Amino acid sequence: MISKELLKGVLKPVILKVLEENGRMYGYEITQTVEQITKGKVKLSYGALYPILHKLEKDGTLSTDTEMVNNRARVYYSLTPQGKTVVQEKIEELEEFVSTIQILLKPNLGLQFC
Amino acid sequence: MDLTKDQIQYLENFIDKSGINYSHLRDDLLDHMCCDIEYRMESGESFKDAFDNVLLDCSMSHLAHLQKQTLLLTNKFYSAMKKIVQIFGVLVPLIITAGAMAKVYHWPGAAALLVLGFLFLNFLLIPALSVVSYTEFNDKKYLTPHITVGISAFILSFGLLFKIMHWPGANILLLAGGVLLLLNIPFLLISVKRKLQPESIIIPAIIGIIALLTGLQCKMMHWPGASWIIVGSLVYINVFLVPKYILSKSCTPARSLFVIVVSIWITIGSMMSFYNTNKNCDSYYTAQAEKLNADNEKYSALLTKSYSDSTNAEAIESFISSYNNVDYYLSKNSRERGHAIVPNDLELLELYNNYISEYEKVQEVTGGKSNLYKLDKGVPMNYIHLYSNVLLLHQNEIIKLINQLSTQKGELK
Repeated sequence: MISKELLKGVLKPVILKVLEENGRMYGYEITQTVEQITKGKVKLSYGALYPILHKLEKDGTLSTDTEMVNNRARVYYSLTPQGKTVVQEKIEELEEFVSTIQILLKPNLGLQFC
Repeated sequence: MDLTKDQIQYLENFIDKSGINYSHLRDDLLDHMCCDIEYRMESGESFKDAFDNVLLDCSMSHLAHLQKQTLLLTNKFYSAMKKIVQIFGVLVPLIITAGAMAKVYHWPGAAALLVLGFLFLNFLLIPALSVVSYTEFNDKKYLTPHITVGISAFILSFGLLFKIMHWPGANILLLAGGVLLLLNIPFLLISVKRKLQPESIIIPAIIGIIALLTGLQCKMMHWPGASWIIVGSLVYINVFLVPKYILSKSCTPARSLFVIVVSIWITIGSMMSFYNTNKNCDSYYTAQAEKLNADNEKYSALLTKSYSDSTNAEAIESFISSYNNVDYYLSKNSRERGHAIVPNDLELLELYNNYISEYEKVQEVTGGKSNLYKLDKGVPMNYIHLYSNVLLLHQNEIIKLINQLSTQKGELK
């Protein structure tokens, strides 16, 4: 399991990426998908997922539609046209972050720059 | 495996109870919980077990917290108000406590600190708290009660400030605020009900808090029976309510510690209203006045003896009789009442003014070295306080007369 502190900053691009690839999804589906892809290493809790989804919806990145499934309302999230450009930006930002951190974590950091 | 309608209804009630109502968050969470439980039931768990397991991730307090997190991210005004509450929620009690301490010990700046603290409280903390609470309720039907509770808190705290500063109108403000707050108790009941678990503690807690507040209000208005109500409600809170809460299931160690600290704080704070500064002043000045009275009687006798052949016997006689009148009025009042001068007590105010002018004369004669205490109209001042100072003044006056007579007669006292 990856710690919540580490996940905090990368949740938004991860959720956007999953939505970009799968199109229209509901909350539980997003958590399950992320869990399956990462083989259970990344678990999205209720408390982490929904505040971000609502924030993205408020920003106009996501749109929602509701469908009745098994006697209950199911809210589906999907990217808006505007959201699709946001995804690219967020993912590029995250990739840059990951590669930067990787440089920092390389062994013998000091010697390389001698 | 699909959930039945009853099971879904059960979950719906659970979510509603935790107060989730922001946008489609309720639908999100209901569906998520249903999916979670269905998934667990497919691997053989019963609905009850599955629900209990899911609850580990999303208890009622988790859900309420989740809604707050969502509001913080999506509502900028709410998050700004929340910041104000966090900052001034710490700052205001600190400023007011510092001001109160300064006032008790007669340090400079007490009034400024108190006024500043109450201004922050009334114009920042109370409005921000109302906005935060109303946003969390997210229900238009709570708008009016929020406004009225906010206004009554505003009036009450100004009443408290006016009372502490002895400004006119304090009692009216306290009474108006108290009545307005009392009218909103049904609303307060609902709002506390949402936040407090377990539910069995809510009604007793409300009763205890209302009793304590009523007692404190009576105390501030100097109504009879206040002390009994305060002591009774404190005993009720500490002996019955706190143990009941701590022994309840949903009480974690951190919460019990919090509850104990708060109850100690409330108890000490309420008990302090019995040992007010007036009482301490009273006993100090009563002792001083008794001593001065005895001294003055001796001096008066001496004076009477030595002025019998003096030329201005009439003036001295009238001085002594006026002094006896003051004595009588002040000692009578100081035994009956022990609280501060109020602006509409004209008789005492006149005495006060006389005292100040006499005081200034004495200061001038002695070059500011007399042992008289300059009574300040702003600080709480009571009859016994003034009485003992007037006695001291008279002592100075009598000694002066004796000395005058002695030099006239060419002999020492």
